Amino acid sequence: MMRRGIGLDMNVKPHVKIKSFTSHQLFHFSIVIRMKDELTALSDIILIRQCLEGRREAFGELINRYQKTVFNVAWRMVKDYQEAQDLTQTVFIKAYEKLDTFNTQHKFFSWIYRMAINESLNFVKRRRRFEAFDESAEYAAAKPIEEVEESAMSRNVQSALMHLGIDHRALIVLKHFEDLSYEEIGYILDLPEKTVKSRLFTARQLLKNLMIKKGHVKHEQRQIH
Amino acid sequence: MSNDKYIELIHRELDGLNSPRESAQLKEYLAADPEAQQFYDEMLATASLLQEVKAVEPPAHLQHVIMNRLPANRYGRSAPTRWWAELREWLEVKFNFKYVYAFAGGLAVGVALFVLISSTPSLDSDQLTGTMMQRGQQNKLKTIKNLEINRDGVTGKIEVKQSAEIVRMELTLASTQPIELTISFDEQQLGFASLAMREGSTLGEAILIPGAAKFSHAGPKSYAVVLTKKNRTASKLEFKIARAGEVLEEWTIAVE
Repeated sequence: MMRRGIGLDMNVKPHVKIKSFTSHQLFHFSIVIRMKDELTALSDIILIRQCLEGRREAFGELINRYQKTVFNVAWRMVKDYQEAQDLTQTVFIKAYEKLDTFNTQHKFFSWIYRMAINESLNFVKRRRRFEAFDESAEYAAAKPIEEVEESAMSRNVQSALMHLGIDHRALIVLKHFEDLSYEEIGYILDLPEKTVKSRLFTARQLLKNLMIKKGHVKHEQRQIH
Repeated sequence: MSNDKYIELIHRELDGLNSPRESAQLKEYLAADPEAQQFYDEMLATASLLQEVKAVEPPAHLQHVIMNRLPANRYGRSAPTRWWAELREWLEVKFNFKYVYAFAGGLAVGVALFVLISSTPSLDSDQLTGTMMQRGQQNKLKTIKNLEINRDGVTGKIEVKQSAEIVRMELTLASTQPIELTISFDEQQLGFASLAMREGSTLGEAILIPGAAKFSHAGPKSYAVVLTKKNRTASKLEFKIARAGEVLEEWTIAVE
């Protein structure tokens, strides 16, 4: 599951190793960690503030934190590696341009997810409109999935996913790939939590049926008493 | 299976949201309904497959490309803002902010104390007052006598001032050898209030006895002696400057 990093990034490796800590050592240890990479240690909100003050490299850290997430959302939604790259770029450029409108009451990752989903939905709708494809044609028009190194199982899942409607696909992506709560999904898709739940249940059942149809999930004709 | 309640419980189970009681309730229901059990197993298998899907790595250069495409000078800052922002960032990274606040608080208290202390005027010849003398009384002082001495290596002057409440004597004396100054007064009328040295000046010795104050010193000295008036009746002050037991000068003045 992808990490949704906010606040301190404790993946930063320290310069020194201390086997047993006193509280005093621990304090200095934490400073060493912070000094290792100041940008990595800062919260999203501080990075945004720095960015608004003209420090572009702070936005670079935000890209570093969330590019994989945004890219994967786009990839799962459009199943086109090049388009996923373009969408990721578009999302971050728009986020940068609108950064001064960002409401700090929300989490930055929710905001960026929202933009990623919206951009992906718009892209799929545009592609469908201009190419006059239906959703299965859209799937067929996408670049070969072999461009991306994925396991056979991942490719099967992605294939089934592309046969879902885009709204249902978005729900599966946010819930199962990004591990977001109903509330967070509601904010991202601008839906009430109750609607999120009911649509997610439908999406899952549709996906299950697709997986069974393609033979990826075993369906036994059990004896019903 | 048509029971909506259990369909919801199945989905909640997949999301890990069921309580132990709800999970047990679902398990019991599934055990009794093979169709529901099959539905659950298939949903679980689908969810498990989804969970196994790994995230795809974006191209390594993606961040660089995005940074290059960002509009230039979108967000600027004035020089003072930048200076303050950089200071804040530095403090945030190098220190925990609570230490900064503690330091700033201590600094503010220190500055406040310094201002308070430095705002207290230092003594000068016009400001020589006793430590117990109330400020404002000096404005009412009037000089009643100027005494001067220039004899056998002893020079200087004594300016005697008085108000309705006090008598203040400002003394500036210089001597090559130790001298003794005695100020005598009627204890019924006057009482010793304070002694103040001019900045940088020290006394060799000061002795207070009933009805008199004796000061011994050598070299240039500048100090002030304040007596309080105990009543409104007239009195007198006697000054005697002596050296090695030899009286060099004596004065007696009246105070009212």
